[in-house]
Amino acid sequence: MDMGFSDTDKTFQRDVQAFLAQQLTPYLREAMARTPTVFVEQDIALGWQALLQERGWAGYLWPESAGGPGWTPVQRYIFERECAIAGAPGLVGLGLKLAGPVIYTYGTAAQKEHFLPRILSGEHYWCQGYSEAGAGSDLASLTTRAELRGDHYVVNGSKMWTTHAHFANWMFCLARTQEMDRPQQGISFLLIDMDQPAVEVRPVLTLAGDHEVNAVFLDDAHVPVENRVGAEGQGWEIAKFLLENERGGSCFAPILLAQLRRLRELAQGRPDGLGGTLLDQPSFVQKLCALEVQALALEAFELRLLSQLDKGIRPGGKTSIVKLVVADIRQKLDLLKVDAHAHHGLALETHRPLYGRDAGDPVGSIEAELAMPMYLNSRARSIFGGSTEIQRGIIAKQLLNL
Amino acid sequence: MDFDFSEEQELLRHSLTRFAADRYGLDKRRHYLASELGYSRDNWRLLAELGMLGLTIPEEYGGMGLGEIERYLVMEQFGRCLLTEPYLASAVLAADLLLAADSEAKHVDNWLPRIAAGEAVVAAALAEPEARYERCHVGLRAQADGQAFRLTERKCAVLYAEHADALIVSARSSGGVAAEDGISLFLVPPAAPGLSMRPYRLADGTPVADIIFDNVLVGEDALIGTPGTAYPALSLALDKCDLALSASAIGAMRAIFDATLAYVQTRQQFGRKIGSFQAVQHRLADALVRIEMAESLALRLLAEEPAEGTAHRRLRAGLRALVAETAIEIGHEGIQLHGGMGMTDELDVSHYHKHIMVVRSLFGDPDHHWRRYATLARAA
Repeated sequence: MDMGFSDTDKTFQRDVQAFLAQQLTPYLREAMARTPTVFVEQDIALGWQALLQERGWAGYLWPESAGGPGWTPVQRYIFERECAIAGAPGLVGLGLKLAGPVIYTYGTAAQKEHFLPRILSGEHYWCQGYSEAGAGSDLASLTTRAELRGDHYVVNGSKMWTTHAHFANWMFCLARTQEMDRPQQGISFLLIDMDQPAVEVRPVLTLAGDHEVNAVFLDDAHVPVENRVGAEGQGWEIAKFLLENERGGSCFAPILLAQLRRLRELAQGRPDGLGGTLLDQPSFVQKLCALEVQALALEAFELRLLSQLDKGIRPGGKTSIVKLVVADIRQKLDLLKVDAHAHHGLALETHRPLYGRDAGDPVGSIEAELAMPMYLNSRARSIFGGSTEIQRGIIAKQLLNL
Repeated sequence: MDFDFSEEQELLRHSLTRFAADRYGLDKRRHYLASELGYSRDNWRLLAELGMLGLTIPEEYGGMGLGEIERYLVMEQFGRCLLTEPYLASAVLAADLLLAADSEAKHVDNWLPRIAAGEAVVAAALAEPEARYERCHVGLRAQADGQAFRLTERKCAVLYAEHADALIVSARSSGGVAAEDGISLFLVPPAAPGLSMRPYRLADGTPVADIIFDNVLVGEDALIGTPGTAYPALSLALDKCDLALSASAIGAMRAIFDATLAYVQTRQQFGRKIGSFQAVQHRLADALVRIEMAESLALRLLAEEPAEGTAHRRLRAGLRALVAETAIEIGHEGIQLHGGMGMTDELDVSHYHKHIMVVRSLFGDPDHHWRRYATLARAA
């Protein structure tokens, strides 16, 4: 029973800390702190990615054979943890966390050679063509079709909730290549060049006024057959591999704990109107304390999964536990932040971005200004990447054998 | 980093599963509870032979000198089998109080080896009806009378008091009723003149007693440690007791969860297993998430170093509150998903739940611990 890192890992941790102290610019940090959406803007993400890539760290999840540093699970966790604590921008994981691992796991030699370096350099910026208007939680009911014509597929259909499609020049996409008995069969995994007239991206504004997601229309989109990953019909297996990567095995608690520390500081400085501070208001304190304890428990759970992963035991359905708890804590935390700012928490600034030269003077404070957009945006946390109901289903099936 | 238990620790767990398989089960437990003593002397002897009663008592006093990780494992197994013996009362709370408070070593030589050997059961009389769960609220007065003391007032819910060989009594020798200074501990024979008991049982069958002290005269030799300075030792022992209670609650909630999971996989309604209904599956998925979180926090506490300081004590209070809240929720789910059968005395689910109700609030309910957590968080 030991929660500490080994000496080697501690040395590594100091390297990461030193790197962050040197390379993470105040501008990047501010942009991250003032981004109410899950993903930071493309320029911020790529700016940070370029600094990491100089050090060979952009593909921090990747093995050396794919161009990554070949870190152990513990090193990856330490890296994510230190980045979160330092307030580094989140790396937009569509290429680095999702497309990359799929390509180096299932791709051909040519695909690896072509795509992996371009993901690392940021030349290729990816989006995920999974959900459709009629296929959300029931992803396997997707109807986008890819018809094989000689040496290429012709893809027709539409994708929905496509994060950063307005920035992306590549999309990895699930499309039906064959009608089979089970909806999970006959799906293939295609890499689509967005730079063609057959691909149209329309913004979908979300409730806080953010443009993060899109609808993507594919009208006879052209995909050379060599841009299919895996065999025809292997798409669902690859999709599941990817979703497991998307849902967990990573590090969420440290950032939640950092935000809770900040909220406690904030509450200590906010008057309760009766001569005390917000920390004198019992119901506020009760909620804050409960979230702190839950985040500490989550961190311990993440470390338990990590120590298992270090022994080669994959987390499987347990990543759904992480996803559920993270969404729950985050949503409650973001509501509590709105409450902390009282009337100023009710304002909704829709101008974006909330940092840089064009950002206006915030009403109240920048934290007050961020509270409502963040709260509104975080309602998505129990919906995206498999809704809370889907995660419960996975837990029931995979962990409880129900 | 490693959250696994060591081989020795796993062996310890294994020996207790064997003990539980041999000596426990709903009918056997009913039988123990129905006895006048409220537990089995044979089991007690067996636990002493296994070394369990001296698990955390230092070797110089005849114990095994192990720590809180081992105690956690043991208490978790006891929660799983719903142990009736006075383990928590004597081998945990009383032993820890003696170790922490007996600065002049007047009593440890005599009592700790006997606790470890199962020859004596020592009960701690701490709670009072007016105190709710405040550790520093001690209204029982100790008035100096020459070299002796006279004890007056009441204690409540004293675990296993009726048949105990000695009582550790907290008393106020100076200061206001809720002051941390001025608390003393005394070792009192249960048969002392002026001491009377009203025995009763808690919801899970645990024998307890309310005790009235009417001018009970004790000599100076009854003092544990120096007068008026017992609060830190008292609080430390209760912190440790809290972790033991959490472990027992975790064992009990795991047992309820396992039983419920097995039940929904066999119980049929509408022509199918009720575990195939989404409404049932989602409740169980949420229950598992809560259990995993509570257990992870417990392991975090066990792995934390150094095991002292404000942040650590705050984590202990948080764990105690979280586990207590989780346990009662799991208990409620277990009853609900067993339907009418969950309401019966016949199935073990109801017995586990009654145990959870007791350990949830013994020496402090969740509200109490949340308040302690909040205070310690502000002090940090």
